[in-house]
Amino acid sequence: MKFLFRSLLFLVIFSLGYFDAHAAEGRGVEYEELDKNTTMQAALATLQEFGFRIESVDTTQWTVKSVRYVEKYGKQLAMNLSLEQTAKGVLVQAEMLVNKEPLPQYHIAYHNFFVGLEQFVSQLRHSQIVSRLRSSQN
Amino acid sequence: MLKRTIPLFLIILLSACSSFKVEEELNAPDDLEALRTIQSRLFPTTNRSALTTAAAEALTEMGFTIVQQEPGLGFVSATQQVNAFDAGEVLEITAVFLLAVLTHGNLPGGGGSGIDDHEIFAANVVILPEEGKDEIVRLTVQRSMYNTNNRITETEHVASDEVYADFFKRIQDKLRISAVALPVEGL
Repeated sequence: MKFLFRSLLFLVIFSLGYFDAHAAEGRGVEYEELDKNTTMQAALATLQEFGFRIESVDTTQWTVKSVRYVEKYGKQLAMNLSLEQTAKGVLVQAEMLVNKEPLPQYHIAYHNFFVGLEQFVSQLRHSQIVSRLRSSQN
Repeated sequence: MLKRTIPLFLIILLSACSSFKVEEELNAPDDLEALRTIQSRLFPTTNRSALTTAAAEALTEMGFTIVQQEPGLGFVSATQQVNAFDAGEVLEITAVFLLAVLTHGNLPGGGGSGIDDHEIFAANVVILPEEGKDEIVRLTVQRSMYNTNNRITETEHVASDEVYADFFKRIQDKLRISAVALPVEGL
């Protein structure tokens, strides 16, 4: 019984620590030295990678609406993004809804999304650097 | 006490394992690498606008209707609706309903499940620069089945190599350039 209690206690403490460590980002991440166009490209590629169907892209308001159906559980996931120019770069804000109910601000799903976005941002940054180097050599 | 606690603990653990977790839905599926390879091609051009136009034209030729086209971003969205009404299915469901009424006096499932009516293929094209000299074009196609109540009854990612190969061939023919298939770990 003692063992069981300790195991449960460990699981609870571990889970709390894990979620707390990943909760810092929340629903928004700022990408420095990037323009809206490049950030939007990375965002679209990320949504595509995660299996979302991109429903609309608004390049006036800089917003994206996307949706994904999880057939196994009969759930609809919606991911809405908005991009905002800041002094340092571009702030990407995400809103995720499950069956039209928004997820809490510090849900770990946001962390997973922004990790995916970071990969495409890095790829585009790299491409930009190589492109500049090429043009300077020419 | 222990005899009661252990099964309870196991039930909680098992129910936690099978429940829906959004964060797990954002993990890449195991077959993603292979799917990404057939969905992507590298084009030796930096003319993203021409690629976007060619992609939209290719989708139109394949029977899609363009919903949105953003040459500056390298994005195209398109849909195609196909009639999925099946007379055999209607007869089958009617027979089941009649049988249920005769034997139980009521309709199964409250009678609101609906019959497959149409399917919509939704296509997204995203074009990304690669190494400052190429562009990677990726097409994803999803199929969703809608019933007569306009509710989605099933949805899947189209994994048929032929659809994607046809799309990329059309772009190549239009731009008169050869695309390169990406290795599995290419992106």
